[in-house]
Amino acid sequence: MSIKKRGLRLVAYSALALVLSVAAVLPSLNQRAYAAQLTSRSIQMSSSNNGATGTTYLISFTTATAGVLKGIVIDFCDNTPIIGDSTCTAPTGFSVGTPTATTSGLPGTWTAASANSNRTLTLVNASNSTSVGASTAITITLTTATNPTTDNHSFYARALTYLNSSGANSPATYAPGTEGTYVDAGGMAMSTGKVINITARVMESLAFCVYNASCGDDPSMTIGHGTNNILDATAVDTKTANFSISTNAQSGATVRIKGNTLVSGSNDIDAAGASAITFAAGTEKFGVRVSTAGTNITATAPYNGGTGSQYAFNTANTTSTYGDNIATLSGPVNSSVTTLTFAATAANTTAAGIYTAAQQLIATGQF
Amino acid sequence: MRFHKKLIVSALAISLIVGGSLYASLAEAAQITSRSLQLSSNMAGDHNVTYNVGFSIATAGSIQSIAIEFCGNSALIEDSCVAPYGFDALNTHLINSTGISGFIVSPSSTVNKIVLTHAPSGPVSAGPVGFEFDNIVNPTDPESYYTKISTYTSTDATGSPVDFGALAFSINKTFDVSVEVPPYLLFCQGVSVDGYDCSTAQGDLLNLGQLSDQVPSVAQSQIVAATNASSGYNISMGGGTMTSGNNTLPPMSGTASAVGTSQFGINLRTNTNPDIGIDPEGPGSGTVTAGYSLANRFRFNNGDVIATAAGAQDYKKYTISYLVNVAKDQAPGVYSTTLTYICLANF
Repeated sequence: MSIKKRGLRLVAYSALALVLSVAAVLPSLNQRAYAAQLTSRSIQMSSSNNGATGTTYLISFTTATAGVLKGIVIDFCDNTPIIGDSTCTAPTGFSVGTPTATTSGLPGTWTAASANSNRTLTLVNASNSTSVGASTAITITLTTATNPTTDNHSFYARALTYLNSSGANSPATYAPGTEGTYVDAGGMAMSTGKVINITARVMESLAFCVYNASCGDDPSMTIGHGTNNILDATAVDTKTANFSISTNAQSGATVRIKGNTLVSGSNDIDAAGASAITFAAGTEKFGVRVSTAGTNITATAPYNGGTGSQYAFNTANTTSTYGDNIATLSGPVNSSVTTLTFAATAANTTAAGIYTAAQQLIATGQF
Repeated sequence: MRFHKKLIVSALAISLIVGGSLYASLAEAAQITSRSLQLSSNMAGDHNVTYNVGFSIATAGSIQSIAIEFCGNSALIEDSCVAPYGFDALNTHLINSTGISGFIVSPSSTVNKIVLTHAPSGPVSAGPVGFEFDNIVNPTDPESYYTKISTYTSTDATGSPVDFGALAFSINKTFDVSVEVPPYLLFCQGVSVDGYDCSTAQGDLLNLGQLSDQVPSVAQSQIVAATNASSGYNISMGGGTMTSGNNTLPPMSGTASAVGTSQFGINLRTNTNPDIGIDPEGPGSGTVTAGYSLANRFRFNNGDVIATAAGAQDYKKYTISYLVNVAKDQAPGVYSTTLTYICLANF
């Protein structure tokens, strides 16, 4: 029994020793494949859209080993970035195109080419005689890539540097799994994305408010003076109303006034007329003017105050179907406030009574 | 169970395909430009309102119908339209069109959607057009609303629109401007009044001095009157002739001045015999009543109306001339009288 146990132990220890030996040998085999790993590896894509053509890939890495480099391979794989893996399938739809690439950190002029059905980018400089030091930052800008045609898809790149530009151990004989002797290597990963379409819906808008002190109140007014707020021949009395307009109408808007002059039964207060005039106390008149024009608002003659604080009220137009243009808005505006001043005065002969006039301000946007 | 799942999945797929293609077709509609809507009234709930819709057709060709839809919720082509509360275009008529012809209101129009159909059909040019509709009832609530305009190749505004555009318009409240003109009567009197300014009236005593049988004694006072009384005014005179105790000066009855004859009278004219008085002045149309309106003729009768005006009156200034003559046998004394002028406005 003890002999059997001892035999089993011997077999077990032998097996363990064999495993450890293999594990120790493998790194040394790897070490033969490449001297060191490229560091600071990255590929910056100008677009992550699937299938994007003419995409610029900015390939960056830093050398680990000094050497007179004459060849570089950038191999794009769908399945793995591991150097030495013999399987490298091209990402669906990917292509390096007919490569146009520029470099930095490398001496001389490097010629770009494609290999493996446009999956692999190679760069060679056969005449280089300058050593590239260790820890040298190198960039390769490829401007002719076509992205894989799958959304949100990861794919990889393998980068290898060679001392030869042709023949054995060069980009010319490179193949996944049989890379030959290279200087440094390393893998990178990148991914396509999915285009985010952002849609914002902006409707046509026209907010128009006529008010006294604040939007929503009643702008109705009684023009007069004194304790009883009456109109007589001793003064020209005034009252104001405001309108605010907000619209995104690109061609602005017009504001028209529609209504009659002040009327009491069969009597009326004479309208100022189609021309701006100065009111004189005791000469019966009723009129209106734009006393303060809001942002982008232009008062329309004759309601623009004339030569000063003059008033107008052209009943031929204000009683027409669509009223009389009193102000124009030149373009889109947010909360432009305009003040209208209504004025009236009575003559000695103005019949007694309560005179009223229903007025409308109508805004029309030009979209 | 499995069959139901298949059915639901199939229905979903179909709806996505249909919806997607519909959205795509809607999104492909060209933009209608220069869109505007004029209203004859923007008063909430107003009836018989005229709407003038203007826009520019973007795509020329076989446009056979146009839909003008009024919405309370959205101006977006992909959104369904909610009719503005109270809005009613069912009884509207196309009363005018500009830049285009041959369109009539289709019977397929609804309360908030006016469908214009091209009859007879024919090609339509691109460019600005206008359609004016009457007899529309405005929405009840004062706020902003939207109008969607679409053109179609179908005759009943069905299918995918060729062109689309929207606009916004505002419904508001009217506001009242009012004034109160009170009943008005301006009346003042004095020995003199500057212009028509009653604040300058001064004096209430006329002193005719020493009466003489050789020359007439004269004086004058002034009255200003104005009113907005619709039936004008009457100015009457109250008082007696000049007296001194039981002695009186006989009142005149429209006669001329007679030096050496006791008499007392007035008139409201410019006189030359004697030289006294001024004709009525001012923009008012009041007139002097008969008996007091003849130059060089004087009268005095208690209670007489000396001036009248029909209708509302602007300022009128009356100058009252007083004439006294005495006979040689007129009893001595201080003769005086108090006269009152009353202006009665007839509103």
